Amino acid sequence: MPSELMWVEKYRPKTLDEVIDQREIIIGLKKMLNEVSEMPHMLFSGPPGTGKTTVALCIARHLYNDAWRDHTLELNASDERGIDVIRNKVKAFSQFFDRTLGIPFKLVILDEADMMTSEAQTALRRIMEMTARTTRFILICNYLSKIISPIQSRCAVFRFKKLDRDDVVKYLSQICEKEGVKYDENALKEIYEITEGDLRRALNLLQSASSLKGKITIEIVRKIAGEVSGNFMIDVLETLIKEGYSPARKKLFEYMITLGLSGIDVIRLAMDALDFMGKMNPKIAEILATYDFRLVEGGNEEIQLSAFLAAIHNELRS
Amino acid sequence: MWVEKYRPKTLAEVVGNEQAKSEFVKWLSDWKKRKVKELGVFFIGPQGVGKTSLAYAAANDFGYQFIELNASDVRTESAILRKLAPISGTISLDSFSSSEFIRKDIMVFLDEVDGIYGHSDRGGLGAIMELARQRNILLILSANFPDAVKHKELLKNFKRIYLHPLSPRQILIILKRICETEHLNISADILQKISMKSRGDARFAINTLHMVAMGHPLPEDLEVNLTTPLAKTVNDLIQCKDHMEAINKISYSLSRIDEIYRALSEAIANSNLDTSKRAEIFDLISKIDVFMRKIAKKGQWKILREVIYLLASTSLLIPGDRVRYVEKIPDYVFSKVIYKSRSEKFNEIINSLKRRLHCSRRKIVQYMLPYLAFLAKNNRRISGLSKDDINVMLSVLT
Amino acid sequence: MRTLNVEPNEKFKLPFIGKGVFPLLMSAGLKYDRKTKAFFIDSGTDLNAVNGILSSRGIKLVIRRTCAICGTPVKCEKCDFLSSCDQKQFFCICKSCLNSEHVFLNYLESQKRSLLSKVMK
Repeated sequence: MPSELMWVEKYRPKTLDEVIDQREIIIGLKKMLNEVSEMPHMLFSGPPGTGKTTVALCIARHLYNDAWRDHTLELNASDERGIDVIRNKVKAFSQFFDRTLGIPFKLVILDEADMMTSEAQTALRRIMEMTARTTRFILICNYLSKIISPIQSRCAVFRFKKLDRDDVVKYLSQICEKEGVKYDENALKEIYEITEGDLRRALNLLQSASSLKGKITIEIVRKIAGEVSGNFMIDVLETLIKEGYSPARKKLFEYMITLGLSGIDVIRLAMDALDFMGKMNPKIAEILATYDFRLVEGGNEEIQLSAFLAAIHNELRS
Repeated sequence: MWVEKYRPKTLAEVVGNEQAKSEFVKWLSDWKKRKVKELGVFFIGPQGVGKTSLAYAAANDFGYQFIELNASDVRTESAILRKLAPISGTISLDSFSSSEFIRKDIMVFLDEVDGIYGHSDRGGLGAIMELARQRNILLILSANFPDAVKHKELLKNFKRIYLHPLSPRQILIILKRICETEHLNISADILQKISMKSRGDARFAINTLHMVAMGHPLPEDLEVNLTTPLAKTVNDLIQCKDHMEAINKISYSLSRIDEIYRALSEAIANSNLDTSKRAEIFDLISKIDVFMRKIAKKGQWKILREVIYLLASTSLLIPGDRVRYVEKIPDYVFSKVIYKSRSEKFNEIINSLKRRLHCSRRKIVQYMLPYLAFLAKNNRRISGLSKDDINVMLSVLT
Repeated sequence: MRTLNVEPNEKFKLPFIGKGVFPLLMSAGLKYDRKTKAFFIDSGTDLNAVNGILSSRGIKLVIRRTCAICGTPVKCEKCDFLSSCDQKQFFCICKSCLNSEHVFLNYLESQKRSLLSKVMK
């Protein structure tokens, strides 16, 4: 059986022209790339799956062609263990500079910058200044308001919009043609609705639907979306409601440990899960915010998540 | 915290118990050559005399990855700070990232096994013996007063090394070192007093020095609580009916205040409380935890008094008849060590996916893995993932 | 009462003590080396208990405590801290080392030397 690539990988645009939507951003970027030496630091913000990382990678390819991997450092703030680790990596990266390509700098792409504490972001600003001669940063985030203003003021800010439904549906249908997959147009529209315009999720859902025999229909799409969930918090919360606190807590920690996720990851997943389960309300939102804050302040994960679960349990029961 | 800042990083730095140190080093060299019959080492001795330090320093010197499992599942600030040193890692929920699992032999330090006994549950003796028999794990146990009957199997199968209270002069060396590095101007008289009052407990001495350096006057009734194991202190605290009584109890155990509220948190999580009561108490403990971190980070020891009051009030809220603290290694912490190779493989898979797909771990877990699993179940082969990889993935996800 | 000065790990012989006493000594933590047919003390030896047993034979074991830094014998009876010391350590620090300027560094150096020689063996 031949093996296949994940479509999110296979169909990721390699040039700016292939990127769907975000027309104004692309035009603006192309202008900037004409005068490469004048290129500023950049900050991309917007909902998930709208092309931010893709565009950053396209820029890297545009600047360095095939050698882009050597000249680009990709970092993820939520996976790096602290600002010191980031600083060391950036320093080491920016020290060795190869002028042969004619581009006067190297590129650092830092994703999920809004997951950093404001202290860490302040330190990040200093890093950006220290390495300014040889390095340009592209910061990526979902919530622009979580980025401190000294960083915002030092970057060219590009706000990515939620993708247009018709554009997404057209794109998905083109992929279906290329892959030889039969589909109902309604099914593609449903995929857009379910994934809320997140192209990464949409492609995954489409690929999963295509793995079943036959045409892709709305029923199939809905069925798969219902079955497939990467959000173990849904399981944890259901256990909380049906079996009680202790079993839910045990499950939570087992999952966290097995999947290697952090406390803040859990809060984000809980937010999505509670939303999905229709349980979101102002009190729950307040609980989420409170524990997000306490975890970011450095609270012990076991204690904070135990307390978080107890608070949610209490709220769900009343 | 100075106890962590000045935690010895090499064996040469560990002051005191030189006899135990040399017995340990000799045994370790024999262990490497597979010339020993014991399954691991059992450090026996009172608190604050160097059991953890000796293990940690040896891990650094001999190139082991250091993992601390606290049998009472109470992770102190120290354990978390220790995680920041290059080759150490503690099994705490904070540190489950792939980079921590390097391919080295592991030294697992299991602290406070006094409270563990019986084979009935996973956290008990059977679990320890299972852990000890893993080939790439060197298990070090520690206890204050092992019981000849309850811990017979451990005492028989582990090399017993005894650590004793330090002499006041040894404590003085430790304090002098800190004073020099921190440029403290503390009189010899006070240093002597602290050394003499510490009864051989270096942790107590260092904490007292820290408080004095921050401006607290040396308490007249300075006394170290020699014999109380954590479980007794915590359960006594839960039973307290009086605010003053609770405050006193906490004040005498200031050097382990973080262990106390973490033990309380564990006790509450495992007890059968009213939902709203549990939420109320947990909220308070959560706040205490955040305050303590702020204090430790910024050295604002003046707030400590308020934190003590808050902790005392919180203890009073805990119903003594329904909550009890019991020492046990929780399953989830334990399985991480046992299933290490599966976790390693899983982490490798996630890391390679992260690189190919240019996104974070959480996104891989939340948005990619479930679909990969779905495709695998429907017999679609994904390039870059072998059949083995798929099996590991599926076994982890279910 | 005959006093026997012993150093840690140094093997010594005891005068005939009788078969019944031997297991008592072992449970008090005194160690015995079959090859050289001699006794030695280590970290697990409860010296008070051992001496309690040997007193009936008129023997008292005393640790020849030395300074971990310079090796000179330390005299506990003359120590200012005697009243607050449990006297369980096999080594201590002599007065002149204690008062020297870089006592911790000196300790480090001497430990490095001695540990290195142990690992080399």
